[in-house]
Amino acid sequence: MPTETKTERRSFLKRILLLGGLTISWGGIAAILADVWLAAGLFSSAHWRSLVTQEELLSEGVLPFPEQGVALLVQKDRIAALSLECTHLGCRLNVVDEGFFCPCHGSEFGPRGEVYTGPANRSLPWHDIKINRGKIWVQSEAQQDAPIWIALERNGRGTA
Amino acid sequence: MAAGKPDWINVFYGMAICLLLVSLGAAVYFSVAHHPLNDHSSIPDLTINLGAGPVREHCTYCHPEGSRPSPDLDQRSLSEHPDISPHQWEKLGCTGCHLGEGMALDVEISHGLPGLGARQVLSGRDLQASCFQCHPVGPLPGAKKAWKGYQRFLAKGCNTCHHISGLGRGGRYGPDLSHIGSLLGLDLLQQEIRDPKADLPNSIMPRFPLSKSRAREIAYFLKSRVKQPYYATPMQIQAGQIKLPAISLAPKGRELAEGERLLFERQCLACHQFREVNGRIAPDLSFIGSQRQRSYLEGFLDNPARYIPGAVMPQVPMIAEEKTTLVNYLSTQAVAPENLSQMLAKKMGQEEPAKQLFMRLCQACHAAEGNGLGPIQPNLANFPRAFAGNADFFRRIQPKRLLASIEKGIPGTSMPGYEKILSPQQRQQVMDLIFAAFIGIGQDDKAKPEELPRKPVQAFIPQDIDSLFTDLCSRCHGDRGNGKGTEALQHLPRPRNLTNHLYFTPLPDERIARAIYSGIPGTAMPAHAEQLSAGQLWGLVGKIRQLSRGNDAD
Repeated sequence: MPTETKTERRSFLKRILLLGGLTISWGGIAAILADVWLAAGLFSSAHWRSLVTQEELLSEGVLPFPEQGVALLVQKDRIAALSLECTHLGCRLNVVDEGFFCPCHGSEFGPRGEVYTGPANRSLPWHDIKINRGKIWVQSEAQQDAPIWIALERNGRGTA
Repeated sequence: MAAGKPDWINVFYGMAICLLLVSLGAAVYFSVAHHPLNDHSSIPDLTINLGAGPVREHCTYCHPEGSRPSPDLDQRSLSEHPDISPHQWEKLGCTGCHLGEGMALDVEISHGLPGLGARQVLSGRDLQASCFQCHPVGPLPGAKKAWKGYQRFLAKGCNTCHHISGLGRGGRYGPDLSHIGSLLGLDLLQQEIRDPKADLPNSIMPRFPLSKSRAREIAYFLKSRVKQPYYATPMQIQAGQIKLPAISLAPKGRELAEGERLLFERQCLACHQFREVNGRIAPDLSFIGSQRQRSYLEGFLDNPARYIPGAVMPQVPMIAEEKTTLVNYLSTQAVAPENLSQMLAKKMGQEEPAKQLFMRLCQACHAAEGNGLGPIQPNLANFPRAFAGNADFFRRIQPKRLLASIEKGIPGTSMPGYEKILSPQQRQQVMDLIFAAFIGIGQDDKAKPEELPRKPVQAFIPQDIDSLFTDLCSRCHGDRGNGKGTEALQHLPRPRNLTNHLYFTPLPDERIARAIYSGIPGTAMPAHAEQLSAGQLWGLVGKIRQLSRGNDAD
């Protein structure tokens, strides 16, 4: 029957057009969203920032970067990055012998960022860290509970 | 169809409901949008371009042409805006200088909400707080007090603790003040500068001797430190192209040695006393060379809290040569002269020599009344021992220990040794004076010390001692023994910082045990004789030893 095949063909064409249109439009929206999502990363603090070269590091101790809100904990053969923002209201912390001290409301943190006295009630988070071409890079968006230690290669320099 | 309804009736109803909803929505929208209170177009406004984009303000609704509002809004007010040429209010708008909320139509909100008061309207002479938002900081007609405020900011050494963008690195000890004008109002700034501990009892900022008007001047300057200043783009600020002018703090018209000049320029004398110059915040440096060793001075400048745990002095950024010059100067020039008492006699007249010595050397901390509440006491890490009304304390201390404290000082605290300043006779004279004038008992009037329970042979269980410490001590001395327990601020003298290893290392175990067993008169430390067994007492002594060793072990 010619009419039947005609209607079948028409509905088939319709379905193809509909599906194709839907796929293209949803695909377009998804592409836009993905683009926004990728671009958003450029403007947040989630990207990696280089702090110092490996040569400029102290042999051991805490190296604060108040501008970036990060402190580097340097040990003989490894290094980790700790947030330097008070978990109470985000003031920059001071590095003291006993750990960290917040000048705004007097919170105190231990040498590993564990909270000693309030008003802050959370310990300082740790950040992601890596070494690339002799530079130390830190990503502040990653807030970890446990330190991420990475090994330091001291090329023959005294580490007394 | 069976019920007699046509089949389009459902669609019809649906359409009708949609139409109804749309018209209802439209009605609500137009009534809200064109309500006189929301119809911004029907209200006089001013659109200006300040900074990065157009700013629209309704201020002229009540203040036509910048005048004061008349009681009847339809009438034109008679008071004109003062002449502010070369500025033009038509071009600058209102909120750029006067603050407030330009688009608000409520009297309270448009004049800046109370609370921290960051946007509270400025008027009259307070308006100069806005000048340096656009103009570079410097002498400027009409902003004399704000400029003076900046000079005071440096003279009082505020930037040694507080970072402020434009003054380079350093000053990371206190909260950042770079954007403080966007956060706090003028009145609050003034109040916080004058009495930092009123709001925050645990603030470590000293109370500077500033009159209300002087604090106001600093507040004028700080109010202009805003998040988005008009004088620079964010990129210029980021790139460090903003500079606040450097000001020489050394007095003019007087030839100064390089070391003495550094005392001024590095803002030491904003807090410390040196000869006639007195910051009235921190101890006297006039004789520091006779009181502290050279190595102590060098180390102290690098990290004050390592030598006096709890000291509020910041690490002052200084290059190595400056530090050497300064330490050289202090250790060779800032020494007590041989004829100190004669010098004092000349200045202070016919007072008895011991009294002159007390007033010159002891009074700043221990107070002229001998109660330990001297002018600089609130800024010290440890409370100076009170003499007056503290006879019970001195009944328990042997004269030898008292003389040793004057001679050698007390390690880990601000008490320096006076061995090289005072002769043995002078030290005894001062001691006699303290006993006669303040303590009020004879120097040989000593109480017989209570017998301490003997140290048991077997070891104590550390967990038991830890929980005992938490129960008995941590409310005042803190969980970690740093003297900052929850109740610490209720007591003056403050609870001892048990992690102060410089203080505790020379102490014999017996003295720590006695302090726990019989308490310390004149302080909040109670006697625990009845609560503790011998094992617990000596266990706590061990715990304190462990706490005060903590720093070295780490």
